[in-house]
Amino acid sequence: MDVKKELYIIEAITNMHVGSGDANFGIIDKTVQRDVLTGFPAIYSSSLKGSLRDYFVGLKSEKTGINDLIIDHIFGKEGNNENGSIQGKYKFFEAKLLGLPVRSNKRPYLIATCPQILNDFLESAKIFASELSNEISDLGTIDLLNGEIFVNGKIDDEIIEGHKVESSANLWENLEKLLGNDFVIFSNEKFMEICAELPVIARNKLDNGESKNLWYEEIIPRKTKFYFGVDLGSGEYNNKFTKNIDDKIVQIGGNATIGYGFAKLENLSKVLK
Amino acid sequence: MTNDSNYVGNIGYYYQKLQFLGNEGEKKEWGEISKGKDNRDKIETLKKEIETNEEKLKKISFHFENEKILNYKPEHNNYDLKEIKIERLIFKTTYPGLLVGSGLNHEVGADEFKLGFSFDYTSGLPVIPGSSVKGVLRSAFPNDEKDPKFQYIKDKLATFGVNSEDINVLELKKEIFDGIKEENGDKNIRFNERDIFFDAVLTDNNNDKHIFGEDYITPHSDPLKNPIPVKFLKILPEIEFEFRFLLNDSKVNDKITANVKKELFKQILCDLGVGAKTNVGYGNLISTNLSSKNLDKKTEKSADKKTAPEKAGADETSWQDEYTKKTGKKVKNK
Repeated sequence: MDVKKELYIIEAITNMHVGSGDANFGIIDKTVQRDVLTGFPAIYSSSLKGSLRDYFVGLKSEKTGINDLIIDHIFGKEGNNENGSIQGKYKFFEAKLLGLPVRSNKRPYLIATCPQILNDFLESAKIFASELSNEISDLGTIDLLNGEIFVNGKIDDEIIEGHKVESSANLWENLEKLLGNDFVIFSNEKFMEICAELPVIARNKLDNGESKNLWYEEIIPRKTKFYFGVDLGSGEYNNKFTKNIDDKIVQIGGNATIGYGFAKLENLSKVLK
Repeated sequence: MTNDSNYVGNIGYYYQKLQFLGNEGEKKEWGEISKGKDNRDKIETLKKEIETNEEKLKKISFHFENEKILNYKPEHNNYDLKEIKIERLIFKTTYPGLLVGSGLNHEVGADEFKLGFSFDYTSGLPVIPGSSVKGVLRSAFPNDEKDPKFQYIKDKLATFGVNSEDINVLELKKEIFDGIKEENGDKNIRFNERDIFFDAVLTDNNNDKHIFGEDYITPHSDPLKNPIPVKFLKILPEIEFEFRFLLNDSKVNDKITANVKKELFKQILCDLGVGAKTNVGYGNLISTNLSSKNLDKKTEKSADKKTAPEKAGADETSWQDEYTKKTGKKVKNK
């Protein structure tokens, strides 16, 4: 049986908060989801699938051709007394971090990543976009020692998140497609340190100017990039699915009404074009 | 001290971190020195020392460069939401300026700005968070029918030709801000029918303009006691901000279209202002997009009249003086 798979890149175009439901032991009341092994920010598959389902429910109309039948096929349906439940035929995988914006004294931001992430990405690409994995196989060759920082296109005296930049290279054309022209690769260790301290936003509930509740929430800054794989099963309705998700804006995570979590989805094949 | 009149890095990063950093070692040293009040002399000596020491100058010069912030001119607003079809309202700040995020922590150095400021992390540019925009709009809506805001909202809607008798302001508030609709048992409104309040950002009209200024407040508990001047960073007057929304027609009342909501929000923002210290005039806004479709000219005119900049005034007490003693009208920054 032919199994269809796709790999998508998510780019946050507004700040995002996909909450873990946890507080940390410091000041942060609401933390974001993180990959259990690496500690990098992530979007768990259940959150991602929920967002996508909600997005497709919002698309339901004659014009788009999206209806309950298709939605139930893709995402499944909970059973009730009369009808049994339906298992979703598509499989959604956790969205993993591809790049995080970091601040610099020479430009507003760069997208930062590390060898481990690029390796993981390549592994995922082999599974979900095997036809493209040759194109990006050079991502797997990048290896940095602790403390090393590589910037695409060097600028003198640049300090990125407190780290002085010393080396640069212009080797990675495909990385430019993936991350944009302004990117930086940190060693795994350094990047883990950077990811440990995501920006925190203070939120306050005021009642007649008086503070009733103050809390701090961690955010995924806009321009952050994730990637995720989808297994489309036998590929039924795959045109409807891919057409409506590629190059489209989907809202992911909490605080939607204050503009959080608007993200652009793009198929890897398009990104690398 | 510096000759780069326009810093090209992330100015939010500079404000929050770099100014204090230099590098890791210096940070500690500097932190110690800048803490005590008696250290002013030390700082002066250090400054002199630095001036004689090129190497050190390079490292520590960060600390004294408030000018870098004050001279900063944005090059691009870096935060367009062109992918989303949004409604935009453009406002200009007025004298004395705008202050957002003053509650955020800011490391305290000796010559430093003492209050926090709200920056977009990625672009580093000042931003009025969507939560603040939503918060100030919600604050104009009443909690119950006795609330003077009840009449305020009705009066505003009446100026757009929406018959105020038909409107359940409390239900409208629930619909807009909480996403709750109580008819038909269907309580929660689906996300894609909710109104969305995005961050308000600088427009590209501010490019190559100074946007930051410094200001002081001098709180003192007793008129005869020592006042302590507190320096803080503000957005200068005449800086353009773009407020962005995704709005839907109301289900509670079909006369409240997305466009009426937009006009209502525009009025509220003009009347109440945003950010901190609105009581003393900060955060007052003037609407600059005077053209709006589908609304009669009369409304436009009355809207314009109210937007003349006015001076900072005395405290506003209860809700805008009980809506000016049960509506002799006028809820506008005094």
